[in-house]
Amino acid sequence: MAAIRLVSPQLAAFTAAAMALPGVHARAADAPRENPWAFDATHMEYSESGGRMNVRVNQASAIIPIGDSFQLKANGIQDLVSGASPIFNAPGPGGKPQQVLTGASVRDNRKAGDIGASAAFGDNQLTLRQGWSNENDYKSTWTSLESRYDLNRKNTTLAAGFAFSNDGVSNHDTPDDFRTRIKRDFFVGITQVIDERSLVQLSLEYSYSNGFLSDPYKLVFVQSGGLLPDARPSQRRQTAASAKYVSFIPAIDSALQAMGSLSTDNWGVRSGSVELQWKKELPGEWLVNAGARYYTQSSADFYAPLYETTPARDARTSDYRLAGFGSLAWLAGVTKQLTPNFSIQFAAERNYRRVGLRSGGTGIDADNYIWGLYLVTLQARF
Amino acid sequence: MAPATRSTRAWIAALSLTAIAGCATVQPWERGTLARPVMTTEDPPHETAQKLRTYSAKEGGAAATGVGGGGCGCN
Repeated sequence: MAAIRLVSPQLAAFTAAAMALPGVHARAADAPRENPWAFDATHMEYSESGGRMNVRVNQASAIIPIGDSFQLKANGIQDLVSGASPIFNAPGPGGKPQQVLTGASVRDNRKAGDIGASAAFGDNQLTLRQGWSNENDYKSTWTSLESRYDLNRKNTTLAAGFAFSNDGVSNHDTPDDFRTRIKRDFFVGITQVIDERSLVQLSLEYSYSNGFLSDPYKLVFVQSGGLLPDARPSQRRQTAASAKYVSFIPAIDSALQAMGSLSTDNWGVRSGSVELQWKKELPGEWLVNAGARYYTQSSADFYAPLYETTPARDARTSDYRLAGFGSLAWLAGVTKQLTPNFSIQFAAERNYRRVGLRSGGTGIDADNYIWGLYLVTLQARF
Repeated sequence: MAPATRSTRAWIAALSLTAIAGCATVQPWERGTLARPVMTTEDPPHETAQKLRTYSAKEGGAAATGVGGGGCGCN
C-alpha cells in the first residue's frame, strides 16, 4: 500500500492561511513541524520508607522522522538499585508476623533499551518495537506490534497490539542458571470524542505468562518446617480493563481527568484503582496538574503471611506484593514551555500503602510502607 | 482459560457500546478545546513508562495500559 502523508492537504492549506496572519509567522517559523524530531531525557529518584529500596533512573529517547509518514525510535534506560528488600515474614512478639529484610545488600545495575519504527498508511499507524533488558540476575527480550486506526473523521481511534517477552531469571547463588519466563500481551482500545469538550478512552488487556513465575529471592516461613523457597503456579492469566474520561470545565478554565481500572487473574488477585486529576494551563506557558490515586487488591489464593504446615498444594508465597492491601497516593506535576522547541517537566508521586485498604484476603500491618518518586524531563521538538 | 468474570463482561459491553456510539462527529474547526495541552489522554511518555513500571513492581494487579516494555527483577 502506498504511504500517505501524515499531514492532510486541508491541514496544510489551513496552516498556510494561518501563517499569512500578522504576527504568526515569526513564532511559527520556530515551532516544531507536524512529524517532529523529538528528544527526551529524564532523571528519576525513587525511594521507600524504612531504609528500603532506592532507585535512580536515567532515561533518554529519540524519535527521528523520515518524511511525513515514517519514524524511527530509540530508547535507553539505566537503573541503579540499592537498599534492602523483604525476604520473608517471621513470627514476632505474640506470634505477630514481621518482615525480615535483606539488609542494605541489594545492589543492581539494570540497562535496558529498545528500538522501533512507525509507519502511517492513511488513517492507520503501525508501530513495531524490539527491546532488551539486562541485569545481573534478570534478562529480558521483548517484541511488540501496535496498530492505531482513525475513523469517523478522527472522532474515533481504535488501537490493538500484541507483545511477546522472553525472560531469564536467576539469583545470586546460581548466577548462571537462568530459568525461562514467557509472557504474551493482547491489547485493544478505543478513544472516542464525545463532544467539543470531552473524550473517553476504554482499554482491555489479556496477558498469559508461563514458566518460572516465582521470585528466587523470596522465602516463606513454615512454623513446622522452617524456611521454604517461594513457589508460584507456572501459569498466570490476567485480564485488565480501564477507562479514562477527560473533560474541560469552562467554569474553572481547567480539565478534569478520571481514570478507573479493574483486573482479575487465575491466582485470585483482583484489583481496582481510581485516579482523579486536575489540569490547568497558566499564563507564561505553564501547565500544572495535581491529583490522587486509590488502589486496592485482594491477596493471591496461595498467599499467607506465615504457614503453620507445608501447604499441600505446591504454591506458596509471603511476597508483600501478592498480599491483600490498598494504597492512597497524591501526584503532582508542572510543565514549563521554555521556547517553542524546549520544555521542562517535573512530576512527583507519594504512595501510602495500608493493609486496611485491601479489597479481600489477608495482609499484614508489617507490610505497610511509603514510596515516593520524583522525576524531571527535558523535552526537545524540532 | 478461566471464564470471563462479570466485571470483564461489563467492560466488554461498555467498549462495544462506545464503539456503536462513535457516530457523534465533532468537526475539525470545533476542536479548539480538545487540542489544548490539558486535554491529552497521554501523559509524557517517560513519566508514563516510569510510573507504570513502578506500579507493576509494587502491585499485584494487572493494568490495561497498552503493550510494550520488558520485565525486570524488580524488588
